[in-house]
Amino acid sequence: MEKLLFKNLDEIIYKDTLKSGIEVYLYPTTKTKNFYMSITVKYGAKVRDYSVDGKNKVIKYGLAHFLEHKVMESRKKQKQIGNLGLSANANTSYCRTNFNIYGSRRPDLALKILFDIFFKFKIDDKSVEREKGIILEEYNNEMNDPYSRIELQDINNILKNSYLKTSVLGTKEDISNMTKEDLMTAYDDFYTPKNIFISVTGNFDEKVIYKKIIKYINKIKFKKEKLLDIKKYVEPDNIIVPYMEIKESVSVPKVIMDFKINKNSIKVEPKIIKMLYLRIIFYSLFGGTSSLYNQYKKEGLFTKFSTYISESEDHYLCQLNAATNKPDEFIKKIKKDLKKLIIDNNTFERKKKLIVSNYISRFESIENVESIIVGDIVYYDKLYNNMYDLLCDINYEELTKIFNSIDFDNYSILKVLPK
Amino acid sequence: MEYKKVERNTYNINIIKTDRFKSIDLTVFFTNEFEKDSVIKATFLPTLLTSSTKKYKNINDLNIYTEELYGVDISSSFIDFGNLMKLRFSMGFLDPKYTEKSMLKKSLDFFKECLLNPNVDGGEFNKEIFDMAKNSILNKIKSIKDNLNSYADMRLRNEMFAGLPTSFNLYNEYENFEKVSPREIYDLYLGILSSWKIDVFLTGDISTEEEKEYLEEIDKIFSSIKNNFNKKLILFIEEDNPEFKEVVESSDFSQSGIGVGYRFIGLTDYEKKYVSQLYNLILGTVDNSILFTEVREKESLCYSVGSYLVKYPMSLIIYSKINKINYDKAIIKINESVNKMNSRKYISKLFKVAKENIYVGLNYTYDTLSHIVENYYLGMFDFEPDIEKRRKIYKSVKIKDIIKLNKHLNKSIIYYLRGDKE
Repeated sequence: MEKLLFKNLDEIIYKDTLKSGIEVYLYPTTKTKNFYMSITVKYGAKVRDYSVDGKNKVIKYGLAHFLEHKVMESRKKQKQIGNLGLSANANTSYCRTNFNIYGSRRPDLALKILFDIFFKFKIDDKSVEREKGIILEEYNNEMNDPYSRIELQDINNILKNSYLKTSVLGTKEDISNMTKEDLMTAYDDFYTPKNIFISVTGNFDEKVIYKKIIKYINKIKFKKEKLLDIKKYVEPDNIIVPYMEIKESVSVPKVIMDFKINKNSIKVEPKIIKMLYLRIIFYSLFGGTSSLYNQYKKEGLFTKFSTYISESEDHYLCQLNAATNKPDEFIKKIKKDLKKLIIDNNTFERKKKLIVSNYISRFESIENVESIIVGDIVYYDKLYNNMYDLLCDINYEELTKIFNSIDFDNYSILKVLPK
Repeated sequence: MEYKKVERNTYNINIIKTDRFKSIDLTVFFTNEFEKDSVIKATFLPTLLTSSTKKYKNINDLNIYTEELYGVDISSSFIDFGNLMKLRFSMGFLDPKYTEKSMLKKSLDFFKECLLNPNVDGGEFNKEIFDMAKNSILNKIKSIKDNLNSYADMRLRNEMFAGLPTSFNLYNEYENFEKVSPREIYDLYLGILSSWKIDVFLTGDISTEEEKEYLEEIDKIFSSIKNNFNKKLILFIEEDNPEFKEVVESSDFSQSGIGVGYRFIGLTDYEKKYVSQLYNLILGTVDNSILFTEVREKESLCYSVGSYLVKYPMSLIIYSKINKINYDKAIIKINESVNKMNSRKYISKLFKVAKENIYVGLNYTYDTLSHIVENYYLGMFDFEPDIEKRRKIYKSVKIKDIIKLNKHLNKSIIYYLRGDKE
């Protein structure tokens, strides 16, 4: 196995690619008594149109999430999960589906349980029908939440063609019409070796577990790897709806302001660093210790105010979210203050320290180490064991260039008033 | 993990060496016997001590400085437990080996600034920060009544532990909280420093060389405090066996809350510390517990049902949220569930799962810095801090021990908060 040394942190993660093409990442440590193992598929809710070996397909919204439910269903048959004190879970995002087990005892058995759940997937029509009710209930819960509805409206104001416009759960119509064939198609097309990777972190014997993984995987007769091509939609750089007012079941009015930034406009490499520069910029300008935040707080312009950065295929979405009893005054003032934003070197250095500190602290938790592995592989196809150096290389000069390149006029405002 | 205690005249330094974490934790506990008036005033202190200091006069200045120290985390809490009460003040910071050597001294200086240099004007806490803390407490108190679970639990404990410190709840003291002044809180703060027991805990990957430097800095902080604490604190509430009572109250909730309280009478230490935990897991906590199966799954009487233990005095509480038409049947099923704890047949189905829960839970302690510290803190009060020793004892618990424990259970109260909202 390849040894990936995380310099300055005294940490090692082992990597290997099996004959089948499945990648394996192992982070053994005796610092904890627990282990956390996962299988991740690089397939999530964002996939709608794709081609397999040149043949075009369109799948239902919410398919990835529905499939996750069905794969996990066999967990109920696994009595050993309770007997060994294990905890088995799964989750779906736009870009990946993750199946995991957490425990203290018998990592070898836990591995088998996880693999059996994942690789011995079986499904029948009755269970699909049963699951529809459960997922529709989940969907209704989400749609009954005013904050979910606000978020969806917000996304639809910013983006024209992006997968983010539809919930991970899908649509009511597509959930109701899901079939066993839909699920098997997605399983066959996407749950393939080149699309899968395994991660094991925590207290386990890496030689034993590695052997167990190879033994299990080598017994599986995988179908011939297909050529997958997921259709990408061109998303314009401009905001779709610059301003909208809506009424919702909130007690305090809200103002949500989003900036849309093309990823290619941030000219730093590697890509993983782009988001970090943006975080430093936005938290310096609008975060809890910024002069803007404190001035607005003093003037009573908000009761709550937060900053959040997410991403779609080609854009970063930088959101300012305020609960305010003076929404019009807030909007007027922030529009004015956008013209006079500055970031000084002291603020930059402080935010950089926080980012470095947060990264190092993540190695205190085996779930966070797994999350580093999954995040790096899903979004960047590579595990960055030189991340510490990359973070230390973040500099004020580069930040200033990026800051100056951001179009702070490219925003949308969603004003939410109580019903 | 390596533990040692360094005794000083007026405080102790407990050093817990572990390479589990990349951060260092410095925590101080101030402990004393429960006294209601002190509890009311001390409830303000966590906010007052973590929002501003003499040097960093507002929360923004404080937060800016924590960023300069690589995101140092200052936290504080105050709780009463049994016949005692404790103020905890902690700071977590990234191990200086990953940042800069100067961060050791700077972080500890910051700890001293926050703990010993509060933002005080003319012998009282700064009014603006005091008002912020007061509003936060009063809002928290008001919100108790908005939540069925919190309110029902609070009322049950009021009735079940009447006259004991365990019955204390912020909700019943609203008027007293309103009356407290910043000067009274400052006087209490000075009293805490001078006359409560002081125990310091330093946890992290600390080498022998580093230990010397940490001890020097910690001594600089705590030797400056003139403290005269000189009694022995024992964590204890006398066992009692109150007469059974049934309390019914009406509410504006649409759902109803049931609380059934039991006292454990005449338990040994082994039963109190170990057998009772497994008992509680099997009865009402693990997946498919007896209560879950009998009350929810088989009879669909409720969405939530479970149980938890109270240590001082040793008691068991069963709770459930139901529709009021199901009250009588729910009580019957709860009684039946407790009776099933006399039966080997029912206990054995969940015995292994409960033991695995304990096993995993004990391991979880190793993974959480604050749990490790709390573990050793409670070790000062007749609690075994060595996790592996505890694990061994739990392993030895038998089904017959659980059955025997059930015979010591005495029902002391049924509390019913009836939801009368149409």
